[in-house]
Amino acid sequence: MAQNQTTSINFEAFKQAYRNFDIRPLSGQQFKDFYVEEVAGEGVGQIVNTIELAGDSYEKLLVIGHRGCGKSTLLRKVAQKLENKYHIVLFSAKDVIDFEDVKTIDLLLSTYMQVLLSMKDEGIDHFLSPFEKMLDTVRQRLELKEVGVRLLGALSFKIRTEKESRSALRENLQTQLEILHKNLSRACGDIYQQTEKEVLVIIDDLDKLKPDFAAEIFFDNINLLMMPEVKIVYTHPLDTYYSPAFLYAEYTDQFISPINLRNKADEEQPVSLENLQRLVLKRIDQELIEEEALTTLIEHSGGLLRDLVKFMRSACKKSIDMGTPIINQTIAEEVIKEHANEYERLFDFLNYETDAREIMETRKVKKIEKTALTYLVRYLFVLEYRQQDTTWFDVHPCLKKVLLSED
Amino acid sequence: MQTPSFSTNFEKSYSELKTELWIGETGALFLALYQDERTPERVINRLKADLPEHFEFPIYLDEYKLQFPLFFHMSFEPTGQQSNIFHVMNLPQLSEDSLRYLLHSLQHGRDYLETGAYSLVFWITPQLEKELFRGAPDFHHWVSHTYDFVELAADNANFQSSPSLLPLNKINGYLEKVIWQYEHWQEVKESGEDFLIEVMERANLREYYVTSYCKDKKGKKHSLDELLQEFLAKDASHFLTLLGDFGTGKSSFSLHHYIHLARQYSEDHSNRIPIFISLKGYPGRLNIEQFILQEFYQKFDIQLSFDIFQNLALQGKFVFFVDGFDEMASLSEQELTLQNFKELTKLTFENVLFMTDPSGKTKKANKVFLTCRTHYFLSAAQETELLRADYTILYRNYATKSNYQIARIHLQEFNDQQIKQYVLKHIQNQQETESILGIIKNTYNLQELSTRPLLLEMIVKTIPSLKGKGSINAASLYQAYTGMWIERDDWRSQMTAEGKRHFMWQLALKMLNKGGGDFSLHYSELDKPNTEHLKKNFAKEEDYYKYETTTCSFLHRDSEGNYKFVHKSFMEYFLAECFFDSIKKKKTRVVDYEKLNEETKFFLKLFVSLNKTGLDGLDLNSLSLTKIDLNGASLRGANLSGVDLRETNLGGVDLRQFYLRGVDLSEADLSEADLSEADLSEADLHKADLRKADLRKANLSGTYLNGTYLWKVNLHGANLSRANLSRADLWGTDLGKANLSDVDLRKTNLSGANLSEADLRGANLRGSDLFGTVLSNTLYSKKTQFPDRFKPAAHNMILLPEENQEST
Repeated sequence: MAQNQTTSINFEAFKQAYRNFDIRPLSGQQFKDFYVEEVAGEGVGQIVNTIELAGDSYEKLLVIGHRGCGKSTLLRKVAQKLENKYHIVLFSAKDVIDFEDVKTIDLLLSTYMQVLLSMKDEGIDHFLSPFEKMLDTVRQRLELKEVGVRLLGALSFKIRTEKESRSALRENLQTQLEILHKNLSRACGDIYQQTEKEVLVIIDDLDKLKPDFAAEIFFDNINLLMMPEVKIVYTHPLDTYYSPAFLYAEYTDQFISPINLRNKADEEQPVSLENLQRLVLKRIDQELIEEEALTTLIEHSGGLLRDLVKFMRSACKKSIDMGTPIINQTIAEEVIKEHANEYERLFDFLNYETDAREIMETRKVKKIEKTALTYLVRYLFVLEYRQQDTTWFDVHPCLKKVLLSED
Repeated sequence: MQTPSFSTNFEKSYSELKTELWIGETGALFLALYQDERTPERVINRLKADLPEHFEFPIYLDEYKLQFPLFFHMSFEPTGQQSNIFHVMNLPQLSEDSLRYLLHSLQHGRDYLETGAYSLVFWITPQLEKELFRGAPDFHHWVSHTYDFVELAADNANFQSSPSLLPLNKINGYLEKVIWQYEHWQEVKESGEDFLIEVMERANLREYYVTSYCKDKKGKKHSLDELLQEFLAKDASHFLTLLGDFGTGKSSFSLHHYIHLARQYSEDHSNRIPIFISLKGYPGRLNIEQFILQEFYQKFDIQLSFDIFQNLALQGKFVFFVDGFDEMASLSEQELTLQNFKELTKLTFENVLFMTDPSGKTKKANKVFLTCRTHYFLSAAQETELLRADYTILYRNYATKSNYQIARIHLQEFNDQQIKQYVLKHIQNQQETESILGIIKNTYNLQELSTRPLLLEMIVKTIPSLKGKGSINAASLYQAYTGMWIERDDWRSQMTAEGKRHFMWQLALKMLNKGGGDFSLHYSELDKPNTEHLKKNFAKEEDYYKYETTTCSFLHRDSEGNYKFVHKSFMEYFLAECFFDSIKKKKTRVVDYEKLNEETKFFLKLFVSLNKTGLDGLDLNSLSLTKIDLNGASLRGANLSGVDLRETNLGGVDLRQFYLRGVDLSEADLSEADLSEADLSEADLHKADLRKADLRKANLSGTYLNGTYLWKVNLHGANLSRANLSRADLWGTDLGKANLSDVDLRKTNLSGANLSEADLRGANLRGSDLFGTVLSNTLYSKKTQFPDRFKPAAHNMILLPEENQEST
């Protein structure tokens, strides 16, 4: 095995680095060790400000960004920053709803349940009685015998996994929407009374919603979403963000841009490069990667954090496999080549090559049809960047490599 | 001929995949591209050889497994600690619709896969990669890496992993010895040698085993041997549970059939290897990997690695006999019991097989045969609930489709023929057998008890002392059986009968209190015997009881000094006896009643029934005394609060002024009982037999007497306010001066009853029969509802104004 031939390389260090470049959002100890304020700080600051400035009003904020731009990590940081002032209820939509069949009411009920659960360790019982009362008539139908916190668990499981149960619940709650709202608002009020902290709900992963469901929840039922008397941060899919309906919906929104390695005028941004170097070097020893190789990998990530992490992971593995003591330019190029190959295999040249080239030239999407834009953005062939008030688009560097090589 | 570059690319992909699987943590998702159908298998075989510390499973997806992520997450629980790598195959073979469905499920189910204790490699063609990317971008985005095996490998991939062989000679040696012990039972017993299988010690099955029968769900009778043979031969199900109450012969049958299979295996090694497992006393959470490795080491002196075991298990090499599940330490915790049960189901390896094999393909999985006391399974419905409570409808549906089911059979009690056969085998004398059968037939209850082999054995052994007794129940049978040893005044014996009895009580109590489910006790944990219990010439020994117990047939002492009852029911019997003795003599409880199990409680109530003439002043608070005979019992001053008296025979008992508030007396026989001035408020008397009972001045407020026959019962002056008497039959009953305010008397037969001076304010008498009812000076209010056309004034009834109700 290759591993045995490479005693000269620092195998353990590479293995650890490989594991450090985990593509999942940061959490636990990794969050403490690897979070880089310079990378995420700006986005975090903007969200915190929006919430703070809202004062007493029950702000509903939509956070939008590309897949893998670091939203989840950023929201965790927001929660951490505000936890002294707010009673934070942070959860992932994927833990509470079924993405294949979701209605606004599921989300509202789940939010209410998560708010209740957040008081699990601080005497939840008196919060539960209105909840249990609300479900009184439907409990038998759902065969729910559990009480207390276990009821929340059991019900949540049913909402997430059982179509029949979901239908029964919706049917029942449709006539009790007022009560549901009142209960949710009241629970938040009660928590404020008890903890002297205002409730702030943060719902992650709603950006994974299919366009139809997203439209149903965010546009058709906007009233339901706005009504609860509590501050809520929703994540929101990019697809619907580009739809005209979004303009009329009058949400406060916050776009999380990939890191701008270049500005609108295509000039290099050394500070951004430095920040991403810092991010990488928190997870791998500087001795294990050549600077040139690191720069190559960062530049080809297009500022998308998850791509960068993936590149690094791949590079660590290759070093172990090839027995090279350091990640050098050859490895970096091989990593990029593999990703470019993937883009080449997967990009729909027939339908979208012209559009991609147009964007590469102009960095604008004015002439691009909506369906094309949705395709390009959804699959990360094109990225939207923001810097203060400026917005521009660019083709992902790996695809760019393919397009340029064809010229 | 392949060009070198082809091979190099393939090799590079292979090398990197291998490295990544090797260094990565679980939960990683990979894609592997291929074009040639032989490629996946070749790569898997090479990985098997190159990564021996990992276990590679191919999973063949088909349309029954489309909800793959959720489904996999719900159903796969790892067995053992090794790293598992699952290779998901057959995707390109799926129909367009199925594929679309699968992609949806992957897109939204990736979290289930990500957190699993395994890595997944999805084998796809380049065309499918495009569809996956479009249909499940979110899933695709989370894939760690895509490996390209499209180019053909040079023909160097013919690796086959060669699992090390099990040292079969050791297993053969063990099985031969077990068979020898079985065949030379008496010899082993007399020599004091330990039996390799503990339950073997209980009885000489070679001599005395009587064919057992069972009933299936439809009540049809089958020979157990035949049924088991069928179970082993068929591929339809792999887990069979035999249920039966204690002493019905579950373990005996298991052992009997195990020996049969051991012989078969010795003759032909292509048969499954039978393994007898006892879970008796296993503490806490069962870890099947550790358990199996330990069993192999202890039983066969084989140090096995789990993947070798798994390899053999996946080929269906074993049949497990699991005994003593109901004697595991964890049984008090339902959750843990369920977990342990599920862990046992893993012995079939079906949880792996039903994922890895294509649906519908017959599988040769291991077989597991479990025996268990019935009430741990309660009812079929509850069991299903237990096993699948945390699964979704989706999974439940699938589970029913697959063979992943647990069949259940109920052991049939002995019939007359089997009883006869058993007795004859023991007595070896036709005439004497007939005489014993005669006694069994003519003694009340004995016939019923004799349907359980364990009890039948006791009956046969104690028959002289049972002769002529009017009534025998299980407790008196145990008493007679254990009494033979306890009461025997052997000149060699150094302890008095009382001493021996206390020793048994002490053992039972300490075993219970020790907890942990290990129902054995080392002599060092025993107290010194009380001097009164010793005969004068007692020789001091380290273990006082050692010699004493050599002659005891129901207690076993192993060579290291651990005591254990040969059957758990003896411990339960002594616990009950000790408990009853202490409430009777010391007016205390040696242990919290709630700590006793069902069987102990059962023996205890039989003791109460056996001693019914001497229950005065006893604290019976909260005991379950259901369905026992207390007819004519003497209970003066006894505490009966909270006692469960459902269907209990209390006929003729003096219960004057008793506090029976809220007690469940439904269907109890209270005929001719004296309940005058007793407090029966809120008690459940539904369907109780109260004929000729004396209930004068009894407090029956709020009781439930719906539909009860109360003919000619004396209820004079009784307080029945708020009681439910609807549809009750009160024909000719004396209710004079009774408080019937707010009573439900709808459709009640009150003809000929005496209601003079009774208080009917607020009562509802609609539809009741008042023909010939004495109603003179009976009080009523405007709220009182009468049958149609009934005129209270015509019956000399007195209307009290509403406002005066309270004050009057």
